[in-house]
Amino acid sequence: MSEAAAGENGRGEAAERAALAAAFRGLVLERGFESVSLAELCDRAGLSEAAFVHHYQSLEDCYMQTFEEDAERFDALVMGAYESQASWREGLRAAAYAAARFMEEEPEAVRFGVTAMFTAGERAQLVREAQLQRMVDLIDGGRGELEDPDSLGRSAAEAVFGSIYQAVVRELSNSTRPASAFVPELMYVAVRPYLGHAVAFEELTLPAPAGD
Amino acid sequence: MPAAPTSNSPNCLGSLSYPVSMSPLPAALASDPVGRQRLSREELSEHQRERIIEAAIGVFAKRGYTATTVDHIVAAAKIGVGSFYAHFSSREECFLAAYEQIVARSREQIEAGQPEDGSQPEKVLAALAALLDLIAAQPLAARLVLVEAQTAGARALAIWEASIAALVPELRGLRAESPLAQELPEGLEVATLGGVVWFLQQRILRGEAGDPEVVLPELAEIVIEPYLDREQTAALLSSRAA
Repeated sequence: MSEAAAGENGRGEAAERAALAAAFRGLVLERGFESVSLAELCDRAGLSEAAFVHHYQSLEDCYMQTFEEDAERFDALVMGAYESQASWREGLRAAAYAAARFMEEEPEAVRFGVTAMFTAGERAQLVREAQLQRMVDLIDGGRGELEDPDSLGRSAAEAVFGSIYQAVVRELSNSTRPASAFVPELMYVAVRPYLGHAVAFEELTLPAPAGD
Repeated sequence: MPAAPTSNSPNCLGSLSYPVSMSPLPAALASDPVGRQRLSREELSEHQRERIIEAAIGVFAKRGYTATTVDHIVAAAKIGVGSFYAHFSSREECFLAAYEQIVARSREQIEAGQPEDGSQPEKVLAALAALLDLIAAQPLAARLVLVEAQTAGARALAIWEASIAALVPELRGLRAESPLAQELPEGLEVATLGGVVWFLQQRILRGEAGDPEVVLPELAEIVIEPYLDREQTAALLSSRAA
């Protein structure tokens, strides 16, 4: 992908895609996928139908690509943050703050990803399922911290993920605080089954990492 | 009304030889014959409403809320569209009625299963066990509440949020059992409920209710362990099994 390639109105290809994706997400969230028309989408993005066709084969294709690219971007940020740390606990916290930052910077991408669960086709469901399982795996890694890793099932990690996911869905509809404000309590919930209450309690008073 | 068939009539199955005239039923058995005693208009209407709701639960659970139409519901309920609209003004109204009915009846059943003099942990555990039984017995209703309700519009979501909020005090009551009560985060109960919901949703979506022997301890670990320690939770589970 050549970012310097001039698209319409002097925009690069990447910028064109981003504009189309943003317009698409907006329309789907406002009115549902069935109501999206090519003409309205292009109008909103400030591009021609020819530009759309350059990037996507159809509206369904636009849906899938937008959904998958958002998922990949989120994944890369969260996994990258996790792997940057030496321990499971530190990694989880870094991942949590990276996820919170994503939510604060791209709330529509998060909303879009959440609603896609209910309306998207089989392929999107599979992509989503794989992503969710990777997140659960990340949390489940806490079993490595236990004296007997088999003393706790994967269900504990599933429940932790569920707590986080439900918190995300709830906050998307009535966001009163920034996403990062929820990290300490959710870190308590995540860490407690693996490292116990005393360690989990420390998470409640740890400050957020220095800003970027 | 056509005359009842006798062994000589062309409608009779094959050539049976049995006494054509039967003596009347004894009075005790004849006291409430089908068709003889008419149900009141209200009772008929209530019956029909129930039947529609029952059929609707199946359709909503199998097709999902968004893909379900009133036509699907009337076909499943074997009624006319007019009969549907005599009871509900829209698909959403029908969904909400079904949802509220399931929640109300589940609550009754869970309360019925509560130990009279139990401790709060015992009560919570009994409620979890009753919930698992309900999900196993009525998977379609479970799906409607745990999967579909969150995507069926703002009013369904409001009922959902209210149901979760109503459960928070039940869990908060467990804090009294915990020496760590002062240190537990404020949002712990809401987070725990979120985890339970997800846990149950995943099992429903995968179509595995799971063996209660395995699932109840997992739920106890998620819900009760933050307040009691592992040994106490295990003791609670085994005293329940006893």
